[in-house]
Amino acid sequence: MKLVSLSPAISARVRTTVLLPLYLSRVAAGFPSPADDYLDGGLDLNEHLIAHPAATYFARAEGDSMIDLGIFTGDLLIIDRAVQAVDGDVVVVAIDGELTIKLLDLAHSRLLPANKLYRPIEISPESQVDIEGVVIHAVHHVKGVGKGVTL
Amino acid sequence: MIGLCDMRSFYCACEKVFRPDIRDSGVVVTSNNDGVVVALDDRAKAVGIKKFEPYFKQRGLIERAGVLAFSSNYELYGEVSARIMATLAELAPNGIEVYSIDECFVDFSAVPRHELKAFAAMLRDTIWRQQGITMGVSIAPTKTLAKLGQCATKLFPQIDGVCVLEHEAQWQWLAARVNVNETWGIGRKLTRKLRARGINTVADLSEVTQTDAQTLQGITLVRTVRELQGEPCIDMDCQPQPKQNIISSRSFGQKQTCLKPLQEAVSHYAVRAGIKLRAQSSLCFRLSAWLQTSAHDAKPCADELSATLPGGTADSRELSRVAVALVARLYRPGYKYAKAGVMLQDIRPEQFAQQDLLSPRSENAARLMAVVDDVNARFGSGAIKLARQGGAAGFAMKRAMKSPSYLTRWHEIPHIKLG
Repeated sequence: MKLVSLSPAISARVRTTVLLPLYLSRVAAGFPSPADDYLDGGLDLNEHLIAHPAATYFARAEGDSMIDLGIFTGDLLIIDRAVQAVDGDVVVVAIDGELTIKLLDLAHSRLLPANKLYRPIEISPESQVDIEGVVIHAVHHVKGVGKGVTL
Repeated sequence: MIGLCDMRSFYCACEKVFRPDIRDSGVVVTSNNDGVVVALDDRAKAVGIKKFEPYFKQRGLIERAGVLAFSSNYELYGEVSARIMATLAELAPNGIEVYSIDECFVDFSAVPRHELKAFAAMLRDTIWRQQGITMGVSIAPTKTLAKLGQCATKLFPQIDGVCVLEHEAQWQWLAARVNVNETWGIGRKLTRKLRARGINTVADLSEVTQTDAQTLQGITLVRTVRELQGEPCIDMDCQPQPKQNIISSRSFGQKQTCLKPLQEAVSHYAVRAGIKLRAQSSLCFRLSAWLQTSAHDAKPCADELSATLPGGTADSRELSRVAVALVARLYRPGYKYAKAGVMLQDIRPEQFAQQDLLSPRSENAARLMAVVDDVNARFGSGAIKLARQGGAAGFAMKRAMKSPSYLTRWHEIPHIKLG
């Protein structure tokens, strides 16, 4: 294995460093592995998760108002400020001087939580809602979640 | 046509990106060790806070006015700047020239005249939406006039941050309303000289004859005058030149009187300079180090020594070893040192550097440094360091009011409440 840095030349620094297999088989003696010619060079998770590196930021979710859409407290949120938000997107908005996350429903002039314990927020025509990014992924940590849980 | 993109109150604006609660407040940013105010926004200016004045003297005013103070967070500003430049580079048809952390020139020659304004507005809106930073865009036939155009975007809010100076009449009108010291490349000393001759506005300067400009300052002023008349003399430079010198220097959090902590400090600076040197694939052939007390000290002193590095090097261990040796010779007991620094000189691109027969460069060293740089880039600078760098707490800068490094450290990313 060899450590290869794939940092892009322009420093839109969502940094990428992955372990790539340099050779699948030992070179020393005998026949080379027939698979060597088919090496793909590994999968880059950043490429999969981040479409606009220079406009993407990460945040940590804290709270339960979006659990019905699968966003849990502690999740790592990947937020893109370059894509245009449309209804049905989960967006970051600033409300009362605080960043929060809601489901966008412009058709009905409201921002929706995804948990029945919380109320929708009506957007009055005179109020200004600044969308500060669209949540593209929520990365949820799973290792060990089953401990002590009876199913 | 050449455009200039300028981020408004850049450091202060960066502090507000992840803080909607302070977007309507005035903000100031202080220097290393919270010594002086280095940046302030319009709201802070309006209450009378002054740039480059000591922070402690203005603290009462800052607090009374409800202005928020932050220690400089260069991790954040550097990252936001890199993102803005990457975004602009992608949008600009012919590339950009990064001029400073918050300014860049954009080549607009491929954009049709009648689309200039719309294109500039698109750049401004994109940066606002994607980065949360307000940007002014000014476009003119020359760099110096583009710089003048920025004054218009600040003076006249109604033009919404976009100023296109296409015709002579337009820039002449503006030049008559802007003081000569606002001209690109005109410093304080030259301003005084110009004022003494009755040259007060940019328009006055643009009328200076070539002979007068030549006698006043020389060829640079001649060029400035010609640029103000609309004749391009300073080209776009989209390819960043490798730096000729790399300086790494800091004031200490507290004064130092012993040799060992001073050596740890310069060792640290040498390592930091080495990172920059390797990032531009260069070698340095000369290193100098200096020590100085405060200028107001009862026993002031400032000394500098340099050494040649035969064969050149980009190896942090070598740079640090030389810096430490120089400081051992510079150090004199009984002085209270306030600042030290290291400068790498005679820098040449690695690929053209001649090998020295007597001190061949080692391939292993280059490989080791590449690994160290990689690890430090991933796990935070200082994850791997030389023992010589020490860890003296007294050297850490005082950055008591620093905001989180929202974009560059995992444990400092913003937390968003889902409620």
